[in-house]
Amino acid sequence: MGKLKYPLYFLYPALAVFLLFFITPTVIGFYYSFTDWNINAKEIKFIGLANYEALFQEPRLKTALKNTLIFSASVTLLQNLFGLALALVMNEALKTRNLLRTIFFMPYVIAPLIIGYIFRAIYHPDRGILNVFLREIGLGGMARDWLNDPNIALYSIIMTDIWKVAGFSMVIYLAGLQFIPKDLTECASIDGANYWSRFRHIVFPLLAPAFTVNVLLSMISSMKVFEMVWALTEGGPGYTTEVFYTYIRAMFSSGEFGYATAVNLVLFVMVTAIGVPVLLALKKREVEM
Amino acid sequence: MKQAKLAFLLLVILAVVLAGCGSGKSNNSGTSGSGSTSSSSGSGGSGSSGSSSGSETPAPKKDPVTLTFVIANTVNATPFTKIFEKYTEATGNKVELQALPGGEYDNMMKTRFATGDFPDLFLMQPGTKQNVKLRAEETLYEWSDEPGIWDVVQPSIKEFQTTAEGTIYGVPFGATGMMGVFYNKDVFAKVGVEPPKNYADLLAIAQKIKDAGIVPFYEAVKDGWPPQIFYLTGWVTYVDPEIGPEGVRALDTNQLKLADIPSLRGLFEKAKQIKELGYFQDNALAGTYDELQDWLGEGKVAMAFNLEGIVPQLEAKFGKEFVEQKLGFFPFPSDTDDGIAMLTAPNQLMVPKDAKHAAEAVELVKFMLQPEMINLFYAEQPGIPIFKDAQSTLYPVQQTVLDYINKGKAMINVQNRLTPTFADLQKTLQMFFMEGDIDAAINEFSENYVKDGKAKRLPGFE
Amino acid sequence: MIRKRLRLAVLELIAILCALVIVIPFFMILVNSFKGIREAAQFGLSLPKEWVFDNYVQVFKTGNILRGFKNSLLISGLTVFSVNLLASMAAFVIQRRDSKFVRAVFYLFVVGLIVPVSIVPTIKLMGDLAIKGSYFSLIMYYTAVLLPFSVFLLVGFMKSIPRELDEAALIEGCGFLRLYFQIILPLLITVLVTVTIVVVVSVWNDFFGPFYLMTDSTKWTIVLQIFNFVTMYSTNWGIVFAFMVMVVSPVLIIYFLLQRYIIDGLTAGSVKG
Repeated sequence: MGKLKYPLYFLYPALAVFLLFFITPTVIGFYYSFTDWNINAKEIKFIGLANYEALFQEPRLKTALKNTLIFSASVTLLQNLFGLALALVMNEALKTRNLLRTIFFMPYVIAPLIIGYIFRAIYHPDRGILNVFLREIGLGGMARDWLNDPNIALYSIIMTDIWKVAGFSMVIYLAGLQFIPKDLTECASIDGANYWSRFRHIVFPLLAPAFTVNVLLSMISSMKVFEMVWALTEGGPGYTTEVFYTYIRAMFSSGEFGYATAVNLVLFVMVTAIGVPVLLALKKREVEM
Repeated sequence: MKQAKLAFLLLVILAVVLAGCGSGKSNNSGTSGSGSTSSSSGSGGSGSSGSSSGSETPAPKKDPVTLTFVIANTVNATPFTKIFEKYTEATGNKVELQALPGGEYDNMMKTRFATGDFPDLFLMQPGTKQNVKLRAEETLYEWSDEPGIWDVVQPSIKEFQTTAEGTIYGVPFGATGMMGVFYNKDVFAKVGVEPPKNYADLLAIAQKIKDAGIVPFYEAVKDGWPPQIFYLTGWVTYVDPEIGPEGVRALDTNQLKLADIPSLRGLFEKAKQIKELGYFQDNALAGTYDELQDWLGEGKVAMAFNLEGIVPQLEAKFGKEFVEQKLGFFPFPSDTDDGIAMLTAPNQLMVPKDAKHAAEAVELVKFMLQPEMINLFYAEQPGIPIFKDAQSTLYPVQQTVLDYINKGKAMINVQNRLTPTFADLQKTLQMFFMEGDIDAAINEFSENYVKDGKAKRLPGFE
Repeated sequence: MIRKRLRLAVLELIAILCALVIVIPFFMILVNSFKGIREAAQFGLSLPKEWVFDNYVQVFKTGNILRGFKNSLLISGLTVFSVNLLASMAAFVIQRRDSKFVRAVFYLFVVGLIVPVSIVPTIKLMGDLAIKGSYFSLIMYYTAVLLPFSVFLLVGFMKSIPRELDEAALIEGCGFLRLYFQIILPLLITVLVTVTIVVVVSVWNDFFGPFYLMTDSTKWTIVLQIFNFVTMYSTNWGIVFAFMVMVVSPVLIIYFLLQRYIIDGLTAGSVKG
């Protein structure tokens, strides 16, 4: 049997759309980041690295960088922690398992913008149900101004994001758990291994593919967060919860397009520089498992 | 398996059907009656079509067209929709009202202009400073010689719209608004105080109110834009007298830096002082415009630095009686007297030269300037008129401001007199509220202003 | 035995409490949507003192909800169609045909998974192509952005469809197109459902795309309508919540009806991919 020559033209439509509507703007962006492209300018001049120089000195960008990294690291960690925990619990023979599973995944299908607005009301320092609840159960001392205290605003946003995405991680971990043969775990428990031991030596290693998918997805999408921050604080108070995409948006609003594309490129580099090594490391681990 | 296949098939069919419907509708921009209205009244929408009743405007010579009118969604659209209803009755032309988000309005208009996506008519913020954003000389219709417009407009307002070269690119339409201190008269009466005669008086009043257990001032820091009002109103009382019109011109050409103006720094100091004396509400960082209205109406707070727009909001929440009898106004007092009232100029109607229905749009503007339409506007939204012989019943707060105008103690918002914008002032003030660093705040304020001038390629800033 | 039962019961209780954390915010907006302007601003969980139905009437009249839904449906539907078609065809060839060129294309798509979208040049491009603001531009934008994930998923799944099938069909005289549409595609249904779900959720809820690419307010999606609405009515929470309820309900209803397929599809797709 000769090797079949599959037609390349099957590839062309997807490639064409992808090249034109994704790759081209990205490459053009790369070019524009070296110009002074501005909504008010009649002509565009090449200015070399000027945008990048300005960028690296801009304190607002440093804040955005710091916040984006904190956000991404925290969300990735917590999302996977909660997601895994929920999946392990859901894996047990609970009576209301299906209903619970449906409920946990529900926030994922709602627009982040809407969730942000809902939580604005929930986090209100006087009347929001979070603080009201804390006061009712006697923990009034823990009540805070969740979105306006510059020290904790970012963490409040993180909490809301976890609320939304934990269910998604849960589903993927659950899928991974289905593929772990029951006899393996049963054997181990007959041999006297307790839950944590079984988890550490059997379950978790065999969850490697699900782990890879989850960590990668949560890391990359959390670095690109926008609506959640926008709806909750608009990057405020002041600049304290600014992240990359809110900063890019602000630059776009002020008409500084060349500069905005430079910031976009910095984000691209950052996501790639972090994403690729992580992907390679996780894939390697998967193979080893 | 089978069910999923069915579902997918259904989806594909649905998509194809919608594609058929969608492409048919996607090029049709003229469906009437969409758009926004304020929450206190019913639906808008242009009304009947086709019938031309007798009126002063000429009968339609061609088939009725639909004009697009673009407005910021923070502007009350109801008076406009009422006028457009009359317009449709008179000429058969319809007007579709498109409301764009207020915060993005400028940018969206600029983008549309850049791509040739012109509305027929739109409402812009006041003054000649808007001209540079849209490259008015190239893109907008010029009105200085247009008949049927300027006879009804008050001369000072017309002057405000005129550029140094004598050209006018926008027709003012609206009322003269104000910014300053709104206060709850009941609270004042209860505490036994009256509007201040000077700044020291204001602080004393605030102290008395605080001692009586009521919050003196409400500041909506979370919403960002309200804290600016303190500085803008203080400007006309303190900074304008100090730097004079030459100073403003110097600022406009970057020959004077904001950071170098002592009286401006003084405003920051005053703001800081008020905060340190505890005259703002607790949790001011969480303060919103929405809650400000609630507290002012309920008497939980005595005063708030705010703008004219709060009046219809308070009316919606607390009734006409409250606004007519319990709401008062006074300007930012100076060290020696009761201060100068800060006025906001009316918005302006602009027509792009290359708009599809530019000619009809110009006629529409003339229609809107008829006395009947003007009075209809003010009946719907009372305000200090900018047209001669217009009838408008003013709320007491507006009457107060009119008195200041007549005394010669009123001045237009400095933002309308400067071409660059106070960029990101909201954020600067939020940071200032949190950290109290006057130098950092005033320097950032100053630098952002210069950056904006530079970004707009204005002379003196490049 | 009792210990196990007790353990399960405690776990179930904890899980239910966690589920409450998810459900309570939805309950809050539901209950507040029936309150008047002053009561709604209290954000409480209590039932309304006075049931106000006018909020919903107002939203219906001024919120342009139907138009927003129509637009969202149209754009999501067409994107689903185009992504499924293009991605599956591409994945078919990528997985089967092993040449340097094809492998390079695959890596290009993988790059697309990581790279964030450059929105500003995209806007300019749409303008230069004279399609700015059209439904088409938005659909192409979404397709391009969602192709990497879909191709990636489909290539993984394609491995499980034996090549022998292709060979058998081609011997019978089938052309490649027929092979694809009549044999391969039906076998991909499960994964296509996953792709459809991810595409729908991404496109329906997206704010960024339409905000920058759609200047015509008559074409706005439902999420954009919410943003516009909240900016306008920021001081009447009752109406805002009513709007949210109206927007979220259809999504939730469809979710509850189809949740079995959604979660199963995601499960199957994620592990095989």
